[in-house]
This record gives sequence, C-alpha cells and structure tokens, in this order.
Amino acid sequence: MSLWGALEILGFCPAYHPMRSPTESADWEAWAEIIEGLLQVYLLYLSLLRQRLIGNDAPEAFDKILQGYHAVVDSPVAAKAEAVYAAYPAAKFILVECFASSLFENSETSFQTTRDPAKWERSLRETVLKARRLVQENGLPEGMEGKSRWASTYFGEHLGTLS
Amino acid sequence: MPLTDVYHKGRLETHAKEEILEHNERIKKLIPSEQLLVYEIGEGWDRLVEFLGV
Repeated sequence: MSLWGALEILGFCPAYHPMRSPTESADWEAWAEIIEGLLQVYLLYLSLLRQRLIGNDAPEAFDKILQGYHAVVDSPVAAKAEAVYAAYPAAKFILVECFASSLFENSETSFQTTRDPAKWERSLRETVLKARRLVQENGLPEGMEGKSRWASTYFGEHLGTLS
Repeated sequence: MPLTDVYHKGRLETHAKEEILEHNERIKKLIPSEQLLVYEIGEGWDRLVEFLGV
C-alpha cells in the first residue's frame, strides 16, 4: 500500500491496487482468467493426468484490466511476474525486498517500516491468512458471493471446481 | 487450492519467511537489473524518484 501511494504521488496516477479496484468491476473475472492459468500449470506439474489447459495469461489479458493505469502493485501480479514481464518487457519493476536484517536498526526516525521476513510473516498472518481462514469458516462476505470465481482463486475450493 | 498456496507451494502457513526470500530471488533472476529497483519502504524518495525518472 505504501508503494502504491508513493507511485501515485510521483505521477503514476492512477496506479492499480487490487484492494482499490471497484467491486462491481469486471476485473474480478479477468484476474480469475489469468490466475487459473497459473493454477492449471501447477496441476499439470503435479499430475500429467490433467490435460485440460484453461486460463489465459497472454499480454492482452493484462491489458484488459490495466488499461488506463500507469502502475500496478501487489498480488496477483506479483505471483505472475513472468507473464507480466512477457506482457510488458520494457516496464520498470520495483521489488520491495524483505531484508534478513533491518538497515534502519540504528535510525533515529520514529517510524519503522522496514520489513524483515519475520515481520512480513506476521503481517501475512494478520491479513491474508486470517481472511482466508474466515472465508473458509464462514463463507464469502456479503457482496462477494457474485465474485466467487475470483474469490476461489484466493480463498480456495478451486481444485474442486476444476477437477 | 488458492493462488497463494500454488505460488508458495502450500508453505505459506509454515515457511512464510523462506517463501518471501525465494520470491525476492526469483524476481531478481527474472528482471534485468537495469529494469529493477530493489527498494525498501522507509528508505526515502531518492532512489525511487531516480529510478522512475520523475
């Protein structure tokens, strides 16, 4: 979220953040199409029995969602870096790295945003993994039911619908 | 199986630290160094501004 804010301040406006995409947007379906490609590749890797190749992470698939945006951050593009690079070979990439040790340990600044892997893990538990557990236990939140195809790529049950 | 499990080989619950380090290495291998800024949130604007040419 910090990088997203910085990019917008620097003029890459609008920048695409998955949490800011409008809920009524067709983006949900479009991301599902891209992501399912990755899932299927993994399935093929796991088992040669699965021959059906679905999903589409061709360059046009990204254009469909990102047209009009000057930057994009976060998942799912982070997990599709190869396809994103293939789609936009001249793009600049920023890796917000989690260092093994903090460069700012001795800094006198009052804020501490450096993320080491342990902090990233903690943050992950509080956000993504927590959300997933809630969805698995209680189902999708109100308003997301219609986006079940996308949600399944994030919260699970996807294998069930593919096999 | 959700995206995060696929990408991180189902190890996110148990090996998150290792997985993020692996992701970092994967990106560094994939993207040519002149197109990649390895940035740390909190380090300030300078390198970000220079990299983006703004």
